[in-house]
Amino acid sequence: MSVSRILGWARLAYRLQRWELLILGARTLFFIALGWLTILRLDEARAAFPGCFDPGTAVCPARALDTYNTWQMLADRLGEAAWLLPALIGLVLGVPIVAREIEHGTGQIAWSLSTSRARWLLGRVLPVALAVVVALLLVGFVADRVTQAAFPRDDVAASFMWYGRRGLLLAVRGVAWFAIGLAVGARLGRSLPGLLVGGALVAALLIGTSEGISAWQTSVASPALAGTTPNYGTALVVDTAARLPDGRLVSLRDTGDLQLMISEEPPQASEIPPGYTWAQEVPIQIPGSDYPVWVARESGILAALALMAFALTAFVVGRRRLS
Amino acid sequence: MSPDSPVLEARGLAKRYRRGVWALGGIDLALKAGGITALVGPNASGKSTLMRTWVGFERPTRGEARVGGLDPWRQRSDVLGRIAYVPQSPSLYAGLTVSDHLDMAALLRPGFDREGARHRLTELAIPASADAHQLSGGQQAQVALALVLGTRADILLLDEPLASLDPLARREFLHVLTDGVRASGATAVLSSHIVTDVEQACDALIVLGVGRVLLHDAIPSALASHSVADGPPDLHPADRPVATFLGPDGKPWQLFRTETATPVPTGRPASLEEIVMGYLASARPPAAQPQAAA
Repeated sequence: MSVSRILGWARLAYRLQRWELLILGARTLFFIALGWLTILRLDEARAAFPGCFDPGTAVCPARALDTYNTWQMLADRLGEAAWLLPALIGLVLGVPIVAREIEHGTGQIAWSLSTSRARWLLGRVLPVALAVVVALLLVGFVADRVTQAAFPRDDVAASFMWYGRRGLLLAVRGVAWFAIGLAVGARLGRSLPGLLVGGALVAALLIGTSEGISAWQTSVASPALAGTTPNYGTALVVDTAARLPDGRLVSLRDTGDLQLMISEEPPQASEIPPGYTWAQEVPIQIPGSDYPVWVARESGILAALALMAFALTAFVVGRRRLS
Repeated sequence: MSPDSPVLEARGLAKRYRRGVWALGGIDLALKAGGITALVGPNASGKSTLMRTWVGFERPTRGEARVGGLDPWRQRSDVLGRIAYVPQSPSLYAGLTVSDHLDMAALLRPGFDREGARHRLTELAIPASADAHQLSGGQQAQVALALVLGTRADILLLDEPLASLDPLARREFLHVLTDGVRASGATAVLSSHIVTDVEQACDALIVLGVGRVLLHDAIPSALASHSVADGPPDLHPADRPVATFLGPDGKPWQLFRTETATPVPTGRPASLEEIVMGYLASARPPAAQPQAAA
């Protein structure tokens, strides 16, 4: 498809879905503006009181702590909003594309003018899908920067902190939920039921993929190496175990009768009760350095899901009778 | 395909909807290229189903439909390249201007005559910048017709485009349609239940009733070969009674068809409306028909 045709379709797509696009565009801009404000305020607070918010430092002024905590909390809320946005944007823009054509009868003109329904679908979907990708890439980028501002001592590119609430994954999820909304709308031929059914389906898929990936992560997670201090901030911790003095690992559930004193760091000898031995608490984890690999894996699964949904839509549109 | 081959065909075409209702009961039709054919019948007679089957929007339950020798369901792309369609209610896009509709048609249809369509609408004083939903019913129908004519398709299918139009808008619509079809040499099928309009604009007539073809004839030939009697007829041996129907005076009238080349004076020459009414009455069960005058 040539650039001029894409631009022509983009203009028509905007005119056909202008309210959805304007409202979601405004939400995206609001998110970006609030995100940048949060980043600025957190950076300012740290610059005004250097070292104040690092662990183990002297007491911070209460006013500084209040301000900092407020913006930290906002950063957390923004992360939650970022988690919701792909489903919201994807469904609201995806469901009506075909559903409304059937609902309003306009498909009869469009599908008789076009010699190929697939070409019509491509022209109609491509500009909106691009808008979804661009908007959520921006949201994902800002959410990444917000996370970095909230956890300045960690490298968020190598951290599971706020996984699924930032970065590329938001855009991929947005496209997947958009494709599913599109398919549901095409199958049902009604916008409102499409939104309800699409919402339920996306919720089920979100839970399903999260559970599936969690199970996968649990199956490949490994204990932190002996002699290292675990970084609970960047790693994805799926379980915790105790490392016995002889090097064996025991699940925390199985330590009840062993008379162990379990802690991350070795305690003073006087702190260990008589008859007890010290065991190091060890996280069963995926190191933060594996974060990009897991983003790529989930993206791959969602991209495959999106491709299947697009193919299903093309099939449904191609076979659909029009009355 | 030879030039005399039919451009639109139905062979034993039957369509049953999911509710179990038969919309078409196995019809046979063949339309040659050129001219405007009127497809006339009451509601639920299968007119829209027949048209949608030719466009490839419906799949036949039995039999087959052909457009230029092609199966519109299986070879939809090839068929749609030759066909243009105005649906029963020309649902234009809310939020798109007239000009946007022409842009969309140009994006969808290679070779769409955007300037020709715009010119046609300008002549009718329909502003290109107007929102489609702010237009009157007649203007919306004209926009749909401009889209169809702009495709420069060989075959135009118009499904009751006149149904909701006032008499003046109907006349303007038919004027643009007949001009467009005569100029391009296209074949058009116009479904309608307004017989007076059909008589002015069309060359041939198909009467469809309860999913069957009751009459398919050129309009001059139909007029020449039918007569009507509103009293006891002096039936000529060459005439064949078609049906009895209720006349405007509330009495039963009889429609006859002559089998000879020249009109035979059983009663008086029938009008097109009487012909249509007679054939539609013939499709009713005998008990529902008025009793013929003794």
